[in-house]
Amino acid sequence: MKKQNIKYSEELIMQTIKYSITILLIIILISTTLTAATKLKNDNPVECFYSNVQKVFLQLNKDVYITGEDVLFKGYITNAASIPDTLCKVVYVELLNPGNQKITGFSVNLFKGVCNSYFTLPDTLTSGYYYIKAFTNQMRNFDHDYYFSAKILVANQADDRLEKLVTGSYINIDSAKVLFYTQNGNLITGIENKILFKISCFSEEWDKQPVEIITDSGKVVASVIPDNRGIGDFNLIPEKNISYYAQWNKKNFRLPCQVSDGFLIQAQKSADNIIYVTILSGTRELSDLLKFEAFNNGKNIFEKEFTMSNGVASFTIPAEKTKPGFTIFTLLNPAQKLLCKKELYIPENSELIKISSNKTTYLTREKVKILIDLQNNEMIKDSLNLLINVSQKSNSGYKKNHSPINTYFKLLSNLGNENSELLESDSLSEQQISKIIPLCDLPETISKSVCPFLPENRGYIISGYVYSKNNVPVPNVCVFLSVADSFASLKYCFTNSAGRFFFRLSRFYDNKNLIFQAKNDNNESLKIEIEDKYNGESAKRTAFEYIPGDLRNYLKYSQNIALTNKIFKPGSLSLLSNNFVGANTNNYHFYGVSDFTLFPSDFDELEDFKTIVRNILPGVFYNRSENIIRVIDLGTQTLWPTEALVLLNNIPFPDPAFIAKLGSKQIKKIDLKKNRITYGNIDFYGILSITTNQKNVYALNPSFANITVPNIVRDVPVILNGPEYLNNNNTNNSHPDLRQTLYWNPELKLSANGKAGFDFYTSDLKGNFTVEVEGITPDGKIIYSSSTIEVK
Amino acid sequence: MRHFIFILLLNTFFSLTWAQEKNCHCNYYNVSEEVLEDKITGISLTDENIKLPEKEIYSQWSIGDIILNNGERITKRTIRYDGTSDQLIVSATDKGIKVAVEKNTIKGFDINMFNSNKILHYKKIKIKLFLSSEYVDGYAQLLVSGKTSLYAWRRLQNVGPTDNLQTHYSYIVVKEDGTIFHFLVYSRRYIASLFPEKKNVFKSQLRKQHNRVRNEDQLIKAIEFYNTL
Repeated sequence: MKKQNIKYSEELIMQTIKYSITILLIIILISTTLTAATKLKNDNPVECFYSNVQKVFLQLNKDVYITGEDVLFKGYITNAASIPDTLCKVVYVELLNPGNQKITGFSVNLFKGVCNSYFTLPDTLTSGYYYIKAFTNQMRNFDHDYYFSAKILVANQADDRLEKLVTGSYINIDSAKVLFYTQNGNLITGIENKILFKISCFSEEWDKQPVEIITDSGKVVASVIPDNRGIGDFNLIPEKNISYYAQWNKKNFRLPCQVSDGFLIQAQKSADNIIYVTILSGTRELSDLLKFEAFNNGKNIFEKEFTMSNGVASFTIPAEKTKPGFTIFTLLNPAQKLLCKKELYIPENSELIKISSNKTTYLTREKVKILIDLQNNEMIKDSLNLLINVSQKSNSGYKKNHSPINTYFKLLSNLGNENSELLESDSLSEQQISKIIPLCDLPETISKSVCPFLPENRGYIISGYVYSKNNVPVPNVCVFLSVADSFASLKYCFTNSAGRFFFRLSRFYDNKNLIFQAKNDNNESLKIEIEDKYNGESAKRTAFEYIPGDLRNYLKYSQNIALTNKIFKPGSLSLLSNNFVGANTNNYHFYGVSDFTLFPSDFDELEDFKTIVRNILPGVFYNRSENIIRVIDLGTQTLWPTEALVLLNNIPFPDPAFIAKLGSKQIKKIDLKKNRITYGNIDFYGILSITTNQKNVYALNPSFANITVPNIVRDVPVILNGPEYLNNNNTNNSHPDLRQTLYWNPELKLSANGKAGFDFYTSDLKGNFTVEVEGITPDGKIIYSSSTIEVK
Repeated sequence: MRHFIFILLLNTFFSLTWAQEKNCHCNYYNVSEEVLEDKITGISLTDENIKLPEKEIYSQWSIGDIILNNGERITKRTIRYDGTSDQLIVSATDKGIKVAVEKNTIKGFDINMFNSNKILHYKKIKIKLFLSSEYVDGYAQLLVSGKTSLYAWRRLQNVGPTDNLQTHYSYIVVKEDGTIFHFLVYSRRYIASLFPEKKNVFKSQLRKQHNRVRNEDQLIKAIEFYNTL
């Protein structure tokens, strides 16, 4: 009995130990997981909500271009509330061909959320429809639909037949999808939801088949025939536990998921500027104290705490509080969590800016005086620069695909709202419609995860990969970045576990060739690839479109104009003061000041580097057979154990064979740094910098993986003004003047009383010219107005 | 035994899931500010070289920011201003070495003082040496910034024939037009004489304020007041 008891107690002890260890392990496991999760969360503080997406708009000087012409543009980058994003430093602009493939791309530096510059269309483009896209790094977290996109018509200068245009309009009906738009991305059970749909890549040529809304049991609850743009809407009161589908082209597309506790905000502005707001709730019995707030251009204009009564609440916002611009309505729960949000754009009074000219009809080569008068002086701020564009628009029936800034931002502001007003408007172009994003289509992982692409508020971020020869990413390889400049600059980054490296570039690196070099410790052959910021939409299958007679005539007319202008250059671009002048210069070496400088020309001519080292370069040891250069430590007067860093024209790791051949004829000077230099986490045991007489000579070491990438940055603000004709009798210049853009000034400043005047001369072209004025105030108010002048 | 196997499997599952999640993000997420920020250049020092003298201006390491010549700020580094050699020393803790920052590559630095919770701003400025026409780059503490700036150059210098380190504070006034005055001893009369254009007003106002400009605090107040004139 006693033995049994002992045995039992031993088992009990063992059991207890087992359980203790199990519990301990569980605790360790949970704590590890939690720590890891917290670490992950803390490392990624930026959350990727679609409501945070920036907006980009580019204003171009024309819609129709001939190859070889300059495309002038001014860009605006704002945050989601349309306030200029003054932190963002860079925007990317790409020119895509009709098949959606990139032709050229560059970055543009931003100053206070605005950029302006130009680029030249390559002469080799075939006639067709091209796209100019613009986006920021942060926008890469979201759909391409958020990118700015302008469709331009380009005719090749040498295309004398002008029979057809290349388009990207070939659409396969089987690839078309039905996309849905609701206010907050979901359907709310039990209340009437207005749902809009759009058939993606819709073609007017398809048979008009209805979109049928069916339940999961097959019952048809609505049937709508889409309009000629593939758009339609319907109302639905979703019932609990029923899934709804849209049936079209023999395919089912599921409507957004249902939630029972959601809210809808409906807002309507009356003719007398009063806003009527109705809040609907899916939950009828709700005792929580909710808070409704309205912000007009960032200012709180209305707030009220309330409880829902029978699932409905209504408010009236008086007219005196609602000013033109963006009004955002938010609904918060007692814990201040955002339950629902809606934006309403109240357009500016069209009388806000007055454009007045001294005449309405002008002769050719006559002086035009224009006066701009901003009626609301409150909007005048130091940083308000208006864009003035006076150019001839085509009257050939070519439909402009590029909306003005006010329509564009209005459109973007309605993302996630009821887009009915927008979609019901016939004036919207194809591009505008494509801007409306179906929020309900967002994958959960993107909308709720952290942003992979960080905002570039401190400079341009360039990244790439290091691969082995088997295309396997190689981690922990040191990648060096340098540029050929009069001062040595060096950056390095170790590749992460995915073989990826990152560099943040200041303006010093603008328009320079970036040289990336990498080497593995085990001399494995590597290759470097730089990530293209334009992470490509899928290529479109191109098709041909025959050019109708009117358009062909207009294009031929434009070709002749472009050719004449190319020869006589009647209008020239002049540079405006650049906000970034001097920012891309560097006046010190990354290693500081050298300890010793040698000018070989001060001595007798020496034939090669070995002879130079032996005779006139004390403190340096050169082993020609091993191609190693070592430097003597200043302190101990002994050779450093490791080879020195050698720079050739400020580029590290030159080809030793090339260095060996350099004699005093080729070398201008040699700088020597004898100390052990610590640069970040890397040690250099002495630095030897060779500058050659011939500039920009850099022979890279073949044992390193290297790649040279041009960093094209366009930030040259330009103003386009034509010639001056002092007399109206056209005698002072016999050259033809066929300017289609008469005046382009992206930085017109207003005086304190809100007025500004400018003048220019008409060209030899007759017809109507549009004067466009646009801008965004620092607090997000959009200014746009246009008028027409006639030249006879 | 079954429990151990179960726990082991569970652990493996969690580890794999976490690793997978981490891996799918690592393309972007592993980039930290430290990776992106510019690097500091300096001369490696052995520990013997950087033994703190018995008397030092700041006897301990502090956390501070370094401002590079291109304006980039390297934040939260363990730094110490060495008053004997007028150098900024950075502790590269991961490598266990100390680095004397190359003066030509930085504009200045800010030191967070643990004791007083104050941030001392140091700028690299040109300082004219006493009894010499030579100018040197020195790290001077910014005391007053404005139209006229006041800096203190706090050094440790040998006094006498033996190694007797003593604090040696001199002051630099940089006027709006770029004129630099470097002085060791000061008085109300001397400070007023630096500003001949408003000398009398400045002097009489200092007198009214009972500011005799006898110590650093009074000197700071005097220059701050001059900036308001």
